[in-house]
Amino acid sequence: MSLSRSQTQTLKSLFPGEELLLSPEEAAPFGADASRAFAQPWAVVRPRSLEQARELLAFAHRERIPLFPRGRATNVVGDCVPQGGGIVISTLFLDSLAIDPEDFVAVAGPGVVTADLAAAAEGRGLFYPPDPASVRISTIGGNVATCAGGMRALKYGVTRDFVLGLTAVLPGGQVIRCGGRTHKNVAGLDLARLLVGSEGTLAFITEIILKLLPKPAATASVLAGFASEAQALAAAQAVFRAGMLPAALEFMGAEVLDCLALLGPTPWPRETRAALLLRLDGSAAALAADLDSLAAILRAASATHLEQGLGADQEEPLWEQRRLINPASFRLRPDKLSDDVTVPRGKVAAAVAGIRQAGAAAGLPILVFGHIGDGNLHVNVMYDAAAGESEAAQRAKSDTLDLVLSLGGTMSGEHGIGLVKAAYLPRQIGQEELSLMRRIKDQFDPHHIMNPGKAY
Amino acid sequence: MPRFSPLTPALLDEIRAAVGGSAVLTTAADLDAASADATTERRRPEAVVRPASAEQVSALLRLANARRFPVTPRGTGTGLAGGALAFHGGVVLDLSAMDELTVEPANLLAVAGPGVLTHTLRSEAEKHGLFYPPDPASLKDSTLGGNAATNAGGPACVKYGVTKNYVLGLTAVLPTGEIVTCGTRTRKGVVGYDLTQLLVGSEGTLGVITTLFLKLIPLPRAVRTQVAVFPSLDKAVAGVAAIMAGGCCPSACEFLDPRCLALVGDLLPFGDLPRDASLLLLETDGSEQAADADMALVSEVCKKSGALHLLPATGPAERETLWNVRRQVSLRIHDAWPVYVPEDVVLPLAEIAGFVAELPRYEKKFGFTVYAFGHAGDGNIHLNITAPDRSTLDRVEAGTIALLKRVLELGGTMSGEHGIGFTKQRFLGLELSPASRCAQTAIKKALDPNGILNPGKLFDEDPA
Repeated sequence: MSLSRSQTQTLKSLFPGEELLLSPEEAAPFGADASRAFAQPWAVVRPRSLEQARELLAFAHRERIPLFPRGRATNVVGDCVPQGGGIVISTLFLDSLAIDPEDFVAVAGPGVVTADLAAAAEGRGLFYPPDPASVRISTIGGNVATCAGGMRALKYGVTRDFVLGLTAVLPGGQVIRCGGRTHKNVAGLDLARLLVGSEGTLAFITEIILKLLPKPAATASVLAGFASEAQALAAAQAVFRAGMLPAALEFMGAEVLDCLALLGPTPWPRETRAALLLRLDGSAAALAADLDSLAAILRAASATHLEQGLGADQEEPLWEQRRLINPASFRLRPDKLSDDVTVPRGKVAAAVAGIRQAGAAAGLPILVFGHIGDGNLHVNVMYDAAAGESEAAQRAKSDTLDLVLSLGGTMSGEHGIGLVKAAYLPRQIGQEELSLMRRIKDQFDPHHIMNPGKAY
Repeated sequence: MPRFSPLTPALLDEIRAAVGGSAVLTTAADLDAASADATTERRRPEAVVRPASAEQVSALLRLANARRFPVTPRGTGTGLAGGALAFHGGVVLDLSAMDELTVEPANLLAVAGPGVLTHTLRSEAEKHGLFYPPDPASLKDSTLGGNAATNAGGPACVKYGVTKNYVLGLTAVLPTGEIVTCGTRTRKGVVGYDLTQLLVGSEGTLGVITTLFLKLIPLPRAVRTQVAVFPSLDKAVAGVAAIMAGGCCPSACEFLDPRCLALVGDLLPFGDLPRDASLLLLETDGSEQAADADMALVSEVCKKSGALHLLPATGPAERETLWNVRRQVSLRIHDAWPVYVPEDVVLPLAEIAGFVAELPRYEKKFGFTVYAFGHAGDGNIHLNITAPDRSTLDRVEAGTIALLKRVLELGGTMSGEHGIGFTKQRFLGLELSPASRCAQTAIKKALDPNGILNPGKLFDEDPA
C-alpha cells in the first residue's frame, strides 16, 4: 500500500515546500528510531501550525491513513517506527517556546528539545526538573508522549507531574484544549494526563503548557562505594529514614563497576562491590551542612569510599563514571537488550539478585544500574548476535520481566511499550484492563489511524 | 420511560442477595445520614450499601447496570460540590467501612482503602518517618477515596503537588462491574494508558475506587512558620513572587485579603492595621539547616517587599496558633452570613492581585460581599461570596457567573480543588469547549453505557 495520487495531491496542498517529503530517499531517515527497527514511510509531513495538523488529522481519519507522530526519534521501543506504512508527522517545525516567569509556566511546541526548554527556564531563574538521559536530543513532545522520567524523578516526579495543559488534535480534526496555565485544575476529566504516556496512539499534541519551579540555588553530590550491594541498598534506605529526599540517587552494581574498570582507572578502591551516586539541591546556605549530614549517614551505613562535591565544577567528575556505563558496556559484548524495569523500592535487592541469576542461567553478562530511589533499574543484557547468543539474550530478558512482575513491579518505568514490548504486555496488564484501554482508544480513534501497531 | 428503576422491595431483595443483607441499610436514620454533604443541598437515597470488599462493590454495580438503578459513591460527605449526593435516588455506596491501611516503609508506599481518613494516613506515615503531603482543609474528616475522586489539594501543594501526584495506582470497580487494577505499586510506570490519572479527579463518575497505592516521601525533619503582614495584597503577592524567584519554594504560602484579615485581626498581636493590609502565612521545611536558611530568605525578601510586620512561630504551639488564624476565617465567614457560596477558582499566578483588586466592582454591581483567601503559591483563590439574605440569590448567581467568566478570561479555571459535582455543572460550558466535552462524554459512555454511576454530576445535566 501507499498513498494514492489524489492523497498525495492533498498533502502537497496542505504542506508546501520543505514541509512535505515524498521521495523514498528523503523519507527514509524518518523510518527508524533508537530501537533500530525500520519501516519506510509513505510520506513525511512537518506541520508548522495547529490548522495544518487539524486538516491532516481530518484527512487521514477520512481516508483511513495511518499517522506516526515523531519528534527526534530517541525512543528505544520503536514508538516512532512507521510499521506497516503511513504518514510520519514530524513535530520539529512546531518548536515555539515561551517562558513566563510570573506564571511559572513554559508554553512549548512539541518539537522543542527538552534541554533547550530547561535552559530557557534556567535563564529566567526557573527550573524544569524532568531529565531523561536523552534530554539534550529528545523533544518535549516525545517526553510527554512517553511520560519520560530521569534522575530527578525521585524528588520532583516525572513528566506527567509537570504537564498543566495541552492542545491536541483528535483523529477527525477536533481540537481539544485540556488544562491551562493554572497550577491546579479539577474542572472535568483529566484528558491531559490521559494523553501523557499514550505513546502517540490517541491524538497529536500541538502545544504543551508545563509547570516550572523556582530554581534551587545550589547543588551538591556524593559518590559512595560499598563492600557489598546489600550495604549500598541499606545505605539508601538510611538516607530516606533520616528525612532526606535527594534530587538523584543512582546505583551501580558489581558487574557495572567491573565493566567500568575495563575502560580505565576507577575512582573507588578495587574491593568496592557497589556504588551510590547522590545529588542534593536547595539553598546555598543550607547545602554545605546537608552535604555533611549526608556523608555522615553514608559513613555510618559503612560506606568504604566517599567523595563529595559542592557546586557543578566539583560534582561533574563524580558523575563521569555514570555516563561511561554505556560506552563501557560494549567492551563486554557488541549487542545489547535494554530494559527499564521498576520494582517497589523495597524489592530492589531481590530484583538485582534475581536478574543476576537470569544472567548466569543464560551465560551472559547483565548490567544493572539506575534510579534506585524510584526502584527504576536499567537492565542491559549484553550478548553477541554473531556468536549465536541472541536466543539466550531473549531468554534472559523474558526471565527478567517475569521476575519483575512477580515482585510487584512494572516492565517499563520510562521507555514505554511501543513495538518492542507489545508482545509482553499481556503478562502485566489483565484482560479487563486491556479491554478498558481499547474502549478508550476506540472513542478517540475509531479507525485506529494513530500510531497503529504500538502499545494498546 | 424513566431513566432509572425505583428500588422496589423485590429489587432491594436482589441487592441484599448480591452484596449480603447486613451491608444494606434502609432505616430512616441511615438514609438521612447519607443525604447530606458540606453543601446546603439535601438528597435522600432509597438505600445505603456499606461494602467491605471490592467484590461487593462489583456485585452491586453489575446489578445496578442490569437493573438500571443509580449508585452514588460516598466517603464522609465533606464535598463542597454535591458530588456525593444521590440526585437521582437509588443507592448511596458508603465506602467508609473500607478503611484498611498498610504503610510499607521499605517501599515508601501506603496501601489504603477508600474509607481511610486522610489524617489517619498522615499520622501513620509519620510514625515511620514518612510523609503524605496532600492536606485539604478537611483532612481530619475526609477520606482518601474522596480526596482521590476529587483530586484534593491543600496548602502543601505549592511545594509538594496535589493528590494526583501521590496516587501511583489503584483498584477500581467499573460501572459495568469489572474490577480493574491500574498503575503500579512502583514509583514509576508507563505501561498502558494512565487510567489511574483518569480516575483520579473523575468525581466518582467513571469507577469506584476500592484500593489506593499512594506514594510517600521521607518526612522533612523541620518546619518553620511565619506570618507576614503587607500594606496591600498587591505587595503581598509580589512578595511571594520574589520569594520564589529567590529559589525558595515555601511548603505553605497562604494569603488573606484585607477583608479576611479584618475578620480575624483580633487574633493577631498587631493592633490597628492599614485598611488594605493583607497577610501571608508562610512555611519552609527540610533539614533543620535548610528550613532555617529558607525561612531566613523568606524574611529578608518579605522585608524588602515592604512587609509591615513579621511574626515567626517559635514552636509547634505557636505554629498551631498561626494556622488557627487562617482556619478561623472560613468559620467566621460562615457564621456571619446566611448566604455563602464557596468558589475555588485558580488564576495564573501573575493575575491574582489584579483580579482581587477588581472584586469591589463586582460587589457593588451585584450586591454581595466577597472574601478572598487561599493558596498564593499556586494561584488557587477561595472566593467566598456572601449575602445577608436569600432574597438576593438571583443577583448572587448572576455575579458568580460574571466572576467565573472573568477568571476564565484571565486564563484561569473555575475549580482548583472542590470539583464540579452538581453545584458547578451549569457553569462547566463556560470553561470546556464542545470538543473537550465531547471527548470526555465519550469516555464516560465507554465506561458507563447506562449512566448508572453518580448520575447528575459533571457533564450529566439530566435534571433530577
